[in-house]
Amino acid sequence: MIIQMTNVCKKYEKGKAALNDINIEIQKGEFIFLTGQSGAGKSTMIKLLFREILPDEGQIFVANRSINRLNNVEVVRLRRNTGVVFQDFRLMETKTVFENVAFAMKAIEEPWFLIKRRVPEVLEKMGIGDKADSFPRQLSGGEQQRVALARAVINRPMIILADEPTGNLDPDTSDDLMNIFSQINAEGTTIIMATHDKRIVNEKRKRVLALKGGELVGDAVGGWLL
Amino acid sequence: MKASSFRYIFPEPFNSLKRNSWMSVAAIVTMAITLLLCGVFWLLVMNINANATMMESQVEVKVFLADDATEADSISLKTNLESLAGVASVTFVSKEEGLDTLIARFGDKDRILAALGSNPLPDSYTVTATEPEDVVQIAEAAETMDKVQAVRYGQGTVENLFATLNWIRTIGVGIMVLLSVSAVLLISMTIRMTVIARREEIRVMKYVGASNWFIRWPFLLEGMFIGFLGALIALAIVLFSYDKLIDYMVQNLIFLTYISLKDVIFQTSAVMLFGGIVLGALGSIIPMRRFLKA
Repeated sequence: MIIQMTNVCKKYEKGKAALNDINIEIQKGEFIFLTGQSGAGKSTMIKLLFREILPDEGQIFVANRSINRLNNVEVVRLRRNTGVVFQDFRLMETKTVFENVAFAMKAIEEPWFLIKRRVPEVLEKMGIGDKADSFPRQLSGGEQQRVALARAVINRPMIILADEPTGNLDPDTSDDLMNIFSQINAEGTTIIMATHDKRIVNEKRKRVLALKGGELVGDAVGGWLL
Repeated sequence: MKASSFRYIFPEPFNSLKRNSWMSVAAIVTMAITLLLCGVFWLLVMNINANATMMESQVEVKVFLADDATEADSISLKTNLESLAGVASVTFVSKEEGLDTLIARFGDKDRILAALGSNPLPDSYTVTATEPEDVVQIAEAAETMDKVQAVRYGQGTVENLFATLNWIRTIGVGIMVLLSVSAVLLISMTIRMTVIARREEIRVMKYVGASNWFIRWPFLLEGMFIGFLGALIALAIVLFSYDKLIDYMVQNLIFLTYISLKDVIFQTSAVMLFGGIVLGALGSIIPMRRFLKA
């Protein structure tokens, strides 16, 4: 078991529950869709899992360790085991594709010879090997999201968290990106993807955690549960 | 954090200095002015100290004998003076020698004698103290002895000098503290610009699990570098102008003593450069605390 949440509650500042009494277990290597409407609590779940925010109640375990109370070194270790991808890509506009991806390796202090070798490999795998010297603004949305995904996987995390990664993409581009996610998952990486794209969820036939108003209302393999 | 990771960190401060060039120049200039004034005060205090030490070492007590003192009185007075605590030496100065000293200081023997009629000076003893602080005590003890007409020492001179020195120190320290605070604030504003310019990068570094020190070092180095550059400018000005100033002072205020630059160049450089780097580091810690919370 790689992720476990027990009785997790998170309130917004106004006191309204963003997540209420969430209990889930996720095994290593699973592909999970977090579904629900806007405001259902999908993003809150993602943020809790890479510890951008802390739960008000309950425990979150990642790789059998509670992440509620971690010191700085442990937070760093957790983040290195977790790659994140967002709807708005969050690339650095002044850096090239190569530099954007290499930046993630520099940040965890990998040696330069390894960076030079691994970044082109991963860009190739994402199908953007020829874009290494381009700047983000010169790329299409789908290509930018692939750069973001390359950055998320470059340090070989155990878990990939994706918050609406196809939200800004057209259906064909989304399908291409989903195939890359499937490929990463096939290599053993656990993927948790928040999405409100019914079509993708119905096609992939993976485990779905359905959220509604901060409550977990469905947990089953198959299509859109709501 | 690995030491080898500095190769990723070192270029960052220079990129930032280029990016915020005007702000950086302002911070460097403020730092230079601050440290220049610190350096000037430092050298001023050192010079005043040197003068104070010199004057202290010159402090001696003159004990004048009564006109009716016999040879025996004189000898017993000498013994008494020598037995006082803190006395280094006791030298007899006859009335003739006293007059000679006076003449040596003011000129023409005949004219002085003509003016005075006869030698009006009494015989005296010159008492030197081992420690300047003992002078007052010695003088007071000598005053109570037999056949002593008068006791004279540099009353007030040394005390005044020390009082002045303390004032200069207090005011100097006050000004230095105020200037340091403003230099630190200006550096922290410069670093804050860098933090804002790099906030996307900081966010990505946090997401992928960069260690806190890996994130902090570029900002710390930038502050330290600004401080160092400011110190270098201030030091250059001090080194180039000190000798010229001292030459001017030597010609116009001859009776004072001056420290030559080569005696203090190492200390002064070390203090100013170290001060600049420390102030720069302080300036960069402030915005980091606010922006880089885990």
